[in-house]
Amino acid sequence: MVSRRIATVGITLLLLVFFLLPVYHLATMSLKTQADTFASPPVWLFSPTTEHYDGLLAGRFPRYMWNSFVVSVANVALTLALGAPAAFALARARVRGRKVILFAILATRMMPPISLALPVFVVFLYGGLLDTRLGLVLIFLSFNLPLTVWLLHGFFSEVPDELLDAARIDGASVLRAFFNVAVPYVASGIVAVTILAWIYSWNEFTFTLILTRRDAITATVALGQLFTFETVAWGRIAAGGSLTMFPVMLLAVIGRRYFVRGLTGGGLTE
Amino acid sequence: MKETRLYLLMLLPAVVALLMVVVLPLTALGYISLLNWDLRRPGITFAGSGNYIRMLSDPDLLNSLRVTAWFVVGAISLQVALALVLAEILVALRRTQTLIRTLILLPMVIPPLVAGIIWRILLEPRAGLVNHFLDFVGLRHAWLADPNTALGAVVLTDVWQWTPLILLLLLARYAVIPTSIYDAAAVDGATGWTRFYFITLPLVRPVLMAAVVLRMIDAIREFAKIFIMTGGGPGVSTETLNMYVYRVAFTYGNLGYAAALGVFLFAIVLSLTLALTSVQKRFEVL
Repeated sequence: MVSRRIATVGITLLLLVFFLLPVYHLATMSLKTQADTFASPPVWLFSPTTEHYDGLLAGRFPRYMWNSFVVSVANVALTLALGAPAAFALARARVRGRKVILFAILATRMMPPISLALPVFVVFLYGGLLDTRLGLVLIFLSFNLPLTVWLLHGFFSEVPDELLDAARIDGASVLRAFFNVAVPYVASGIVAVTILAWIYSWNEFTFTLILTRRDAITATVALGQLFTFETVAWGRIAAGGSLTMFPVMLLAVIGRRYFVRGLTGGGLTE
Repeated sequence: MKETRLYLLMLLPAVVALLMVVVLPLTALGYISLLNWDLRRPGITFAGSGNYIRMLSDPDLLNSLRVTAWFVVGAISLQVALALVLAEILVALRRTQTLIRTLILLPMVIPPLVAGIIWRILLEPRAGLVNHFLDFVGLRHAWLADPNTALGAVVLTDVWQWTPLILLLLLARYAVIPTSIYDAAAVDGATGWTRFYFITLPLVRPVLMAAVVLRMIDAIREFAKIFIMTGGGPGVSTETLNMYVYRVAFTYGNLGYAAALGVFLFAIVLSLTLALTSVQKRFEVL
């Protein structure tokens, strides 16, 4: 029994090292001097420097992070405004074809971004939406709206009929039942979906790479561009990577309970 | 009746939006696939099935399908195997399990692009941490620059990022398996492998099946990681179908042919989505 216990602890520690050391390594690398970064053997204790952050923040990177922020917040707001009523309708209305609509929405969620990005690139090129934040806000609907409708539909289905019926006897319309009863009832679900959709927007890369050039670039695509220089500025890349991943990690830890459910498209529940 | 109409009104904006950002572009994709449209050449002409016929004898397409298959099968089988082993071990933990479940969330929430950057740094030939450890066994290697190992390195990164997802799903499933089942099995003398094979595996199979199909869809669409780690190279050794569509469209500017490839990619993902729903229906996971 004791040896089994030791094995369990040992493997658990190995597991944590494998999954967490890479993240830790990036974060510390952003604070190391070039000499420390390339030291062999690796330096575990070092005197931190902020030179990479200083360099990064003096350039255009803050602007790109701001783009990420604006696009993701606007996209999530639009997603919820469109998705929440639709999810409620799908959960409550007794109409034929509901199952088909739900499947269509799930299938939409699974679209390969590259297949969509190609025609959208052409449309944006001629429609003047190329390299604009508005364009990104709109096209990010293609993955976040189906996700939101799918997940919220599940939550709204759990609202007890009696509650909604009681609201309607009081003379409230469907809309009032939605705003005054259903939305407060699933408030925690809405928060979870908001966090998740925001993370997807923030992390997005494929659409942004193809549909932006200069002005509307977001943090992820800006990070990719740091690699194109002759000498790869590892410290600066590590600083940018840390700045980009930190907000997401924070939110994920806060919203942990809902996370797996969302990542699997709501098809599987934790 | 008035009520039904209100519900339809609530549904309408979302449906219109999805038509605009998904159905319309896909229709356009289908139309573009019928054109000779190359940004390097003047003019657009009708190609009919020309682009699709070209696909039948395209060695790069064949290569990309092979790479995609290796990437998807390699990454997912490793993820499932690793997750099953780790779940068996972690399920024994009590108080620390919650903490570990929170910590291993981190790889899967960070942007895939950053995951790619992290592993590109770790695998860096000169100062990469992986090579530092491998020095002890004399295996220092430029993993991403070698066509024989680059795909493996990308698979490793995907395993790192997504094993936690399958592991968390398994642990959640384990948590609702009544211990009485195991107690009864113990009375019958089932331990170790027998227990795992005849009791645990059948109980987690529904979740596992759905997770596998879901991961397949995601792996086929993987772009950021491969883009930042290898860009499809060296040569075309890590060029998945997804990456190939990108190269044809945005490096070569051959929009017509890229659209035909895009339709093909779309068809693969759609059939997997159909498989996912049938899996979920059969096992009642939905």
